[in-house]
Amino acid sequence: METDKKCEDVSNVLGMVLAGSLTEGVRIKLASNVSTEQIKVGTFVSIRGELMRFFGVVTDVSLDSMDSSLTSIPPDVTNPFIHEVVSGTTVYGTLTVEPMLTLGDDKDPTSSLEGPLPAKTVPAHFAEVSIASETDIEFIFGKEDESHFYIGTPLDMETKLCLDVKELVKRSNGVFGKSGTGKTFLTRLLLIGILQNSAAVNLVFDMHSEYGWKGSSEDNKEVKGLKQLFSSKVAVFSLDEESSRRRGLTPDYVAKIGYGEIEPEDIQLLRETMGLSEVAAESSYNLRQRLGPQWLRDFLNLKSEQLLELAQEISVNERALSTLHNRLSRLKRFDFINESDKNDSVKQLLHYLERGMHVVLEFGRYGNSLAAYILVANILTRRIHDRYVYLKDRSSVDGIGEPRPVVITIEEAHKFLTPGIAGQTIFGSIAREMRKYNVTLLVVDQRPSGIDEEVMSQLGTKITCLLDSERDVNSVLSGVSGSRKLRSVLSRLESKQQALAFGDALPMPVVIRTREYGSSESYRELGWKDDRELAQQVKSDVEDLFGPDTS
Amino acid sequence: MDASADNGNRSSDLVGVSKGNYASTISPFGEIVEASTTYLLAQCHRLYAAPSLGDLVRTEEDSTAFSVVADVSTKSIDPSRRPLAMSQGEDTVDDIYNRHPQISRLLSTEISLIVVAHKADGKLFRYLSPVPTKIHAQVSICQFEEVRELTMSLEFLSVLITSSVGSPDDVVAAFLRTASVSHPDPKKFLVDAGKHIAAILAGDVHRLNALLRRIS
Ligand SMILES: Nc1ncnc2c1ncn2[C@@H]1O[C@H](COP(=O)(O)OP(=O)(O)O)[C@@H](O)[C@H]1O
Ligand SMILES: [Mg+2]
Repeated sequence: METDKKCEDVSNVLGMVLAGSLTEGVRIKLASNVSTEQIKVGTFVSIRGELMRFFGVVTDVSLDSMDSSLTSIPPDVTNPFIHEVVSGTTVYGTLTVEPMLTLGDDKDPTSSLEGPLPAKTVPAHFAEVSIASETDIEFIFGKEDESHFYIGTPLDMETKLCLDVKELVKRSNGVFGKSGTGKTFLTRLLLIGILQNSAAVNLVFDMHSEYGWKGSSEDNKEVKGLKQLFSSKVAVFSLDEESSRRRGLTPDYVAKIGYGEIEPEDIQLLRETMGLSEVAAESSYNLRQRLGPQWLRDFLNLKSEQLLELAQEISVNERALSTLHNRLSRLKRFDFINESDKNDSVKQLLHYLERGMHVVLEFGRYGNSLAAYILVANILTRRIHDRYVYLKDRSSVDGIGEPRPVVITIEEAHKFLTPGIAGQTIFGSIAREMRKYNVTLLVVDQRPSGIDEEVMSQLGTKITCLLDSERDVNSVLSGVSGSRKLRSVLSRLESKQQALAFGDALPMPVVIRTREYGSSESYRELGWKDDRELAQQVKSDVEDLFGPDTS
Repeated sequence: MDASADNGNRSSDLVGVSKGNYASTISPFGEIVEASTTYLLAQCHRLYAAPSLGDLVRTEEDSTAFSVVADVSTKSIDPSRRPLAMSQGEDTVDDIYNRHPQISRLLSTEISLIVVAHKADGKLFRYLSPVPTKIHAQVSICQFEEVRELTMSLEFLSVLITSSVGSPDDVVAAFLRTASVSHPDPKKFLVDAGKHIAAILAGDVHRLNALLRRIS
């Protein structure tokens, strides 16, 4: 064992520290047997300093030579022997490593009592640099257990890298990446992590019906949803019962929204999506005042002559009002909106959440309509938040237990958190008030630059796949230390199933290959049992209770 | 005469093995006639019975000095008398020596040696001994084992590279090629040695290229 470890260490040695600074990163000369082509940006390395160990990520790889004239008179590399000799000596590779953490003891990382601390200095000259070992990763990111969820593996390694779920659910979080990079798969894993840790309950606004029941992968293979893996802990609500049933799911509840539940502020949020002018959207407040709780139903039932009259009555521009009427009439196409004032979707939802059940709300065919998504998510979130504010305040007064923390997952998050409106929307306040009322967000988005800066800065943990544009990269990395260097890491992620993760749930930024999801092996690792195993389990449970069956 | 057979193909020779005469018995082939801490001149006991360029040799007295053959020359014992051309018609070199056996006594073969290491109290030091070897010390060629032991580490290479005796690049190349076969992985030995040289010759790509080509 001891000798094994030694061997492993030696083969992992990359080189030694030559120069650098805390602000610019440490320069490392590659050992002559290591080629630059073997090292990728984002690789996780450990540096054995004189007094402590350092951990960091490779942020740049470059070529260098001892003598600048070499570039004009290169050595005779057509001769293979000469080529082999000069590589690594006369000419060599260098790495730039961003030191992130330090660990007091220089020998056995696990013997140190203190956890890793943020790096406040750089290793001494000639310190040995090696690829971080499995033990290093486990020690820094934690071993897989109830509060540490295995989310993926570091670059070019098989070691499980874990997120601290307890830390994760303390604040709102974000998953970013351009379309097709693996956001949905990553989010599904995060949801499972939260579910297994039972630190919070999930409420997922499942736009494309892929989290609850049967998602699909790009090669059109079916992947299991949460309800299929954890049927006793997950309820699926549906806005489109027909579509759910067609996909083989009997929803736990078919959600309806009454006109009376729609507030003028919901209309505000729909401005961009429905193409409403500011004046038109504002006039919904006048309507609410004039027409009462059923303002929308009554408004939509008006004939055009009546509109004119009403416009004068509430002194709103008549054209604006008729546009509003026109646009909002589209809501009539949403069958989940009805005129009843006895809908209890919100009550049901809260009921499930308060019992610790995770709820996925499927949109079915309405997932194609951004308006439907924004409207429903906004209405339900507002009501849940109200309820949580009430429960939380009551608990502090009466000393009754606090409400179970809820994590609300929204896709296309920038539609809810646009800079102009994030100040007023419910999602904006949830993101900003942190965990005050035990409600946090998991925002999933492909265009983070469209999200309010302040909201972005409040996200505790961000996991980002490859992004489209410079602006998106800036917005995700703004305010992160060493962001200039992480940028080069982020822009070189693979286009699928790779992500840069950083924030509260991780002691240091790290590039991961997202854990595989979709094979029966992966389900089993997540604790799922197939029918035969389940039967076996029942049998052994029964035997534990009553003794072996002798009949 | 076997010394003349020694000229050509050296690369396949193993130090101390194929050189039957002195190596298997380690009998000395010569005697020191000029000495300084860095440089030794040895005279061969028999005309032409010299080791090859780049061979590692030892001089034995209180302590052992190791040096590398950097130049071999044969000339008249009396510096004021130069040999005259003697061939008649179809004579081979051997014919001439047979006809005039006295020639062997009028000529002598000398070997220039660059000191690279020494051994005292059984311990090997890859740098110069503080005291030079004494005149008349016997010189013999090193055995396989000694060559390997010495070349486990090559910090003394710079001494050979920067020396001004003979043609240093040829000496270094011959020394390394010969030493390489004493190692289990000769190729790796040469590459490592090459890397040493590359560090020493940083800034002189032309010489580096020339030297490495001789080794490869
Ligand atoms: N962790 C993963 N395990 C297996 N396949 C993955 C994983 N992450 C991404 N993929 C593959 O990449 C495709 C795109 O992922 P998806 O999450 O749908 O992207 P996004 O939501 O960002 O558009 C998936 O259909 C799947 O084939
Ligand atoms: Mg997706």
